[in-house]
Amino acid sequence: MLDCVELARKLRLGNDADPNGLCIVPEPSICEIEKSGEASVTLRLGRWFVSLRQSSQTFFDTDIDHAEHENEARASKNYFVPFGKEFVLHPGRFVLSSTLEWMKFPPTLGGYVGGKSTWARRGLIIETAAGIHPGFNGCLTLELTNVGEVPIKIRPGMKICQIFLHAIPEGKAHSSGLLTGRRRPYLGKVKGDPILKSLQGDG
Amino acid sequence: MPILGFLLRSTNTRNSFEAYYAFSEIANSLIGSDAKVIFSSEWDFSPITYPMSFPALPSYVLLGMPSLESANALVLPLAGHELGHSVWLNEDLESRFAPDVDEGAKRFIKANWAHFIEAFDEHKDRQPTDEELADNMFIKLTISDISQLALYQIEEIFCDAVGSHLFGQSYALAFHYLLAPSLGFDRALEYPTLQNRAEFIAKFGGINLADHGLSNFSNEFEDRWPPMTKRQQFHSSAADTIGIALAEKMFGCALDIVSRKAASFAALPSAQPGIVRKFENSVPAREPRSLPDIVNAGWTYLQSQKSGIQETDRGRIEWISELVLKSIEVLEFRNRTANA
Repeated sequence: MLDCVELARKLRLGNDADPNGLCIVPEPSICEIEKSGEASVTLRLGRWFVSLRQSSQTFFDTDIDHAEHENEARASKNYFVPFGKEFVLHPGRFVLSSTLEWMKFPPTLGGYVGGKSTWARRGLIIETAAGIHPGFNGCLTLELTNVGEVPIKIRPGMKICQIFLHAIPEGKAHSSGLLTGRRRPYLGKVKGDPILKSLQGDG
Repeated sequence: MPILGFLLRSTNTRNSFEAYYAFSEIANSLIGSDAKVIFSSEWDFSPITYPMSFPALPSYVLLGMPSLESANALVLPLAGHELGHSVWLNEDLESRFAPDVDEGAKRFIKANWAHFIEAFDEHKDRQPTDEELADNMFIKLTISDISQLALYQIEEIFCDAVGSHLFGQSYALAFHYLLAPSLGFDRALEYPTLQNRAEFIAKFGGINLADHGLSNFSNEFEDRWPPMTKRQQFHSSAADTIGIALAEKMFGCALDIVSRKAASFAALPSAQPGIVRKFENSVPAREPRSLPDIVNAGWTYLQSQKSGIQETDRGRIEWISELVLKSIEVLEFRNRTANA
């Protein structure tokens, strides 16, 4: 795991567009990170939210075809919350959001996103699919859930999560293709799984 | 109730909401700190179907983006035109230019007397003297009709000028993207012809369009004319002539206002290459100076990809819109936290 000094060095390289650097925009204070003694970079909450509407849909099937994906998209609702306003997450509710920061990972870095203990202790879970692959580009989608007992007000721009980074020696592979970064939370598509298909066959 | 309709549509999440703050800042500079911006995607068909300012609501700036393009950040410069309507109202430019327009209408009637009496044959026994034009109440009515039409036209020219001087080349490129080759319906006489608008932008907008593959800008556009009576033809011809005569003045007036009140927002060519390099590196701008710089960089990036801005390049347009809108959000973040 990268320590604070190495994190700061990667961020400086990223600012200079070095292909081995980590670029984060808007950039966190590199000096603060360097002096923090922590091994993570804290990120802030973005302004777009996607919630799944309560509907007459009886279940979500992981083996769905394209047409049903479109139904799924229709079942979601986008919200834009300006700075200075808030989004109230009620107990038991789930909403997608994203980091305010746009990140570009080099092929030599991967990482994990984790919650902030302050929020976790009040019941706010921010991420369940935590891996960040080398070459990731865009804003991270966060899966926010309130598992506590009382509603939680969350505000765009607040510190919401932190990323821990790992070096990938001689890493060359990118997980993202060209033109793939997103600024808004993204529901994503369930990828086809030929092995699962085979397992489900009649034979 | 068009205002209510406007508000309703403003909830459409396809809108480029990130641009709201940046436009509010520009509006506050140009119009005053009490400016209230309503940003929406109201244009169903074209940008020129909606009255974008209301005399009863002088501090309200209604920025309407075309509904089908509301997620396309590259057309944001066209909101500069709508800002222009509020500036026009706020500066009371109609009163300032009404004498010029009135004078232009009289000059046109005098210079085209034969056509005038062909269209208004009840005046065929009269002569175009100064006294006649000043005292004959029926001719004065025609002068008034022409002046009103010409005032609408020069307001539109002024608005194009505000857009051009604020946004630079991206205004012309967005104008071309959205309006070329034609509106798809007859020209409205309250507007200059598309060809004339393009000509004015090219001549007086301070933009080197040849650098962007548009060296013959006005020829990119064509106008369809409605069937008109001889009187309507005379009115339209007079208003067009007055518009042409005053176009340079409108661009000069807009430049003066933008330079005095919003210079820190107006496009700065030297600020753009750094942003383009960020876009080429697939990241948003880190320290953008203004919304126009960001959008100009977006257009430059797109043009550098030699893909143009065709429907087939939709993926690339969506991609650059992501970077442009994120950069605009970074601009807001930096401005809001500058003193934190």
